[in-house]
Amino acid sequence: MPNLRRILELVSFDIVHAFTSMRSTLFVVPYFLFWYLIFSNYSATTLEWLQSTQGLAAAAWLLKDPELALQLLVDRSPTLSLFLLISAAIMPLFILFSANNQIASDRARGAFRFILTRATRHELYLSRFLSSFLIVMTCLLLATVWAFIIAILNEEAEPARLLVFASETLLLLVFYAMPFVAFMSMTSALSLSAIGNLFMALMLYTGMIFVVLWLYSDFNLIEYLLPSSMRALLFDINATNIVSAITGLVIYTAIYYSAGWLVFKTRDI
Amino acid sequence: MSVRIECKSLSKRFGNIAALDGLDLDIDISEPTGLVGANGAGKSTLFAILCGFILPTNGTVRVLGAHAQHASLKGKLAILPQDTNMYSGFSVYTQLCHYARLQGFNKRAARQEVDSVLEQVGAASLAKQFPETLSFGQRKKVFLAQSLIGSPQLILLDEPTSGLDPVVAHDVQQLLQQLSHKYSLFISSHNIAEIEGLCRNIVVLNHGKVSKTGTISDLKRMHQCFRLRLDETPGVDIKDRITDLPGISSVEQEHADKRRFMIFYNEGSANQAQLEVLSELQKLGLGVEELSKGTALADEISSLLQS
Repeated sequence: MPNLRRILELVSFDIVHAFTSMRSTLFVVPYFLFWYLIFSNYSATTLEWLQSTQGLAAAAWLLKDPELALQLLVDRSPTLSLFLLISAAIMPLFILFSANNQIASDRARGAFRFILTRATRHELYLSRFLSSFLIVMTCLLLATVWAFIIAILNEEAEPARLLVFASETLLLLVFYAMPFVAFMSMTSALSLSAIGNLFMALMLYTGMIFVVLWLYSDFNLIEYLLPSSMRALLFDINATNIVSAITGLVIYTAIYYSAGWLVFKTRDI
Repeated sequence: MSVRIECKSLSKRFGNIAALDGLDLDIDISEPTGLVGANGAGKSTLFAILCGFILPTNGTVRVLGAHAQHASLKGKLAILPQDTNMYSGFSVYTQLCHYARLQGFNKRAARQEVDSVLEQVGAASLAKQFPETLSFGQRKKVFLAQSLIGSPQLILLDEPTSGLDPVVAHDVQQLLQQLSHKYSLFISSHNIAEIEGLCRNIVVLNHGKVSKTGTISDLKRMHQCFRLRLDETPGVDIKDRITDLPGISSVEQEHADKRRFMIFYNEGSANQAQLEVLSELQKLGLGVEELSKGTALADEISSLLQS
């Protein structure tokens, strides 16, 4: 059994390290700059357009589901719904940078040799996954708070209702992020350097997308190769669908995490 | 307390290269033990396997009674590794406190422990510095300090003085001499004199296998001989005269230093041979500067590695 105290120590040290090194500037700055560009151009006019026939038609086309588009942009907060859709769309790319350097460069540098006489490999691997996940969660939380403030400023809905939507949005995004972080844990266990991991993850994920696109017409189930297949279910208003999606995402996470662990537990350090 | 290392048929291959090739070893490191061998003999690989950094291709290894990867070993075994770096951007103190916390110290106790280990290695002044600003020698001392955290049962020191200038190397050797009274040390080194000065026992590795284990004094006395150094170069050929003495089997004179001789005697005639030689030298009016039983450790190891 992993030692909880050691895991907490490893996680807290890694988070501090991430936010005080170049590692964080690689994703924190571009990520919030991106949201700044979105939110600075967001106004009451954007809101009106989102809820217009044109906006709804565009959303219906993107989501491939007119009813879901209507629910998200009219029944729920359009600002937070837009935030949810964009966040989900950029999630693979965001996590590619934010959760990239979990293991590879520290293993290459040899820093793990000071840790492995004090903690087990599993504690190390698990702590790197958890710290990356917490960093991603922190960024998602801050961006959601920002989206919530924009929603309050532009929408007429009650703040309490918006707060509920914002909380739901954050929760959905956190679950959606989980398998992508585990995917990066897996590729990091395989790679020899952070930059190598970035390319490997990019190539592997892009390759999987191509496989899905290529085989989808003949074999629909192939879409489940990617965690993004859970997206439509996750955004649904129906609670059963959301639970199914969350279960699916947890399974994806377990598969990627386990595959990475099988590699990491036998790798030379 | 037994500080045991047991390896059975241990092999490690890196592609086509066999770093360890069916190594068998069963030793108690209660007393300082040296690990010697030529470059590529498998010393660092053996240490890496003992610490669980790498997995063996074949064979089993047990350290302090547990499997090398086992959680129960954490904090009981420490290493001063080679070619390793700490995190940049964090002070030495912060990182050592992190290691101490991983070993179960609370915040306050971790600080006290780090102060203590830095003091022990004479590196207290380096606490607030960042690892990237330290010299090679200072870094070695800091790495040595990290290996002492929590008083582990066994400390592996991989080439503790390699790359250091003679002054710093001497400091580190003296430090290790002091630490050897308190900790169980297993020291890998190319420097035979260093191993001879620090260790009582020795393990000789050759091509990934154990070539010899035992005490250094036994290894030196493996051949029945004594080494002799005269205070001046003899004017006459004394080699044949000594060889003809009773109890002496053969004599070798060094080419580089004509004052040095290696005198081999027959079994059971050590004292007689010694007396005969000294008396013959006295007759010739030659003084003895140095006389020691056994071969030089370096010579013995060298012959083991060449065999």
